[in-house]
Amino acid sequence: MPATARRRGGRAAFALLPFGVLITAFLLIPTVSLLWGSFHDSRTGAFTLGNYSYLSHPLDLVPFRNSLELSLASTIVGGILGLLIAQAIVSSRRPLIQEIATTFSSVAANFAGVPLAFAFIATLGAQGLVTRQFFNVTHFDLYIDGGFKLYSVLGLTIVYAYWEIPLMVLVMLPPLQAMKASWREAAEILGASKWQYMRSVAIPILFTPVVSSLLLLYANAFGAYATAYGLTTGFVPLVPIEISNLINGDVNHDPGAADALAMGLAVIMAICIGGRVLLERRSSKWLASR
Amino acid sequence: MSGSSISGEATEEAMEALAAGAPAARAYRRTHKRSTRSPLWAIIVLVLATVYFLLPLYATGVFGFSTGKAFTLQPLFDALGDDGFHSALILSLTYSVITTILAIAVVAPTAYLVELRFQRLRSTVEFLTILPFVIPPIILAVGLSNVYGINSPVNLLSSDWAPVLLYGGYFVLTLPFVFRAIDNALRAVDVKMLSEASASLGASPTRTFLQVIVPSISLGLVSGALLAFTTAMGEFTLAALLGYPTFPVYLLNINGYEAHIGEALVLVSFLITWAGVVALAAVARRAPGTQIVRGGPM
Repeated sequence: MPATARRRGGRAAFALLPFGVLITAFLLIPTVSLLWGSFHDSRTGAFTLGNYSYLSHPLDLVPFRNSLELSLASTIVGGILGLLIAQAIVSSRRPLIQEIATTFSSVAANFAGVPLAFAFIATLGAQGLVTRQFFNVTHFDLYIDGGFKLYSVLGLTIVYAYWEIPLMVLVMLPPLQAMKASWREAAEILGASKWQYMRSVAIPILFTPVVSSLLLLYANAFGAYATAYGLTTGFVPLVPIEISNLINGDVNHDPGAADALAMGLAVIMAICIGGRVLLERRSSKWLASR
Repeated sequence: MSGSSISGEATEEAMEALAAGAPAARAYRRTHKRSTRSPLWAIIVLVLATVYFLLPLYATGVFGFSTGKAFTLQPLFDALGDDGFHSALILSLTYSVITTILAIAVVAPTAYLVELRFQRLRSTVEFLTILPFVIPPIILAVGLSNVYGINSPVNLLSSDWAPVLLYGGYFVLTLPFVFRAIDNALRAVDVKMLSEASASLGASPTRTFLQVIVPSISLGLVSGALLAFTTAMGEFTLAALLGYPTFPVYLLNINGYEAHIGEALVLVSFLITWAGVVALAAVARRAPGTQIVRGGPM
């Protein structure tokens, strides 16, 4: 019997092979190659720290600064508005509104990339519908008089909000719905003011899910390439755009620098995703039982 | 009980009292009848949100489907008559279907075996399925072209290998969603009991998996498949950087010289996204806990 069991175990382990092979070939080896490539000169193959020179040159840090700003802005906008909308959906107490809003949020959160970029060019581009209508009404041209550009950090923030807000709504709806009405009632019976309820009950319970959601929003904005590329075709220096220029460009083709920049991006992603995993692990017991 | 500060234990006590239907709670409920009307601020927030979210779709519709004055479907017919559109769409559909089959066929047995026999591998496998979030498409594209690009000894971009590189990349990108969908479904049924019962009746492990486990996690497989398919259909970064002219890549190019066709196709891809979400929501209604949003960088 043990022999059969062992043979079965061996056969079962064999069935894990395709997964192992695919992951090794298309995730682990490429990731290791990034790490290796980032410390080696792509022409001579010699060890170098030169690929990371962007960390010490203020000018080379511009993509990182832009990406940090854009991600921070769209996380704040998406986080605040998403939370507000999620609470409005819960407070509306209409099952139909909740269902429509959930479905639409899922669509909007998934509707990113090139199509989203073009939808906003039609809306807020130099010849966009809102831009022209705004000019017709106020005789103020957002582009000429206002200096607005869709392919700027501000413009990108407005566009990124289109998926950041619904993403926040979707991840915050379950914890907000899990806030039992009886908790507020209990607090009120005990004589707590609205503010005391917020401070001692609501905020402590919602703190973990909110921070964890904000980390998700931040990572999503930082790693996004398709939407930014569709809007700017590579003109606004963001980290993902710079990486693609470094591996695709004819002029500044430099795989080593691309590897180093990609490692920098991976570190930011790892901080966000790692933080999220840790927070979820100690996720509040109050929200677990509904 | 009157005190202006409330502590954690006090809240807990009060909650227990409420659960037990204490008189205080009953009196409270009598005087504080919950209103069934939506508060005004909630209505205002939802109306403003609706405007922000519908405006780009409306503007896209105006650009894509009007001649300046009248409504027209001509851009769609133009797209249908464009050879580039045909080949891009067929390419995207082919890649998405094969990615979906590959992902389900590989992940389902893996998740099953981890749950049944290799619990000690669980944390490793879970780590590997989260890793693609840390390595978003833009980073993966760099890594893949390092290892399998034109300057590499293993050139998977040459025509002999055709789309193998893209399938490998898409397998990685869809892994987090597919694994979670299937794993959730597996955890909802008693895999051990089903497998032992099946084995005691003489079924081989393969037969047990195909005829007992697969039917009992079918909803998880369907939602995993839908997530994989929609991810692959909309994927731009890997396809563009590795040089596969899929539908999103075509969309980027056509908008450069035929903006009307581009905007019309934007609405089409919005409808495709919508169809995917509605299908996932239908699955979610029968299997609560189904994930209907991907939530990764795109």
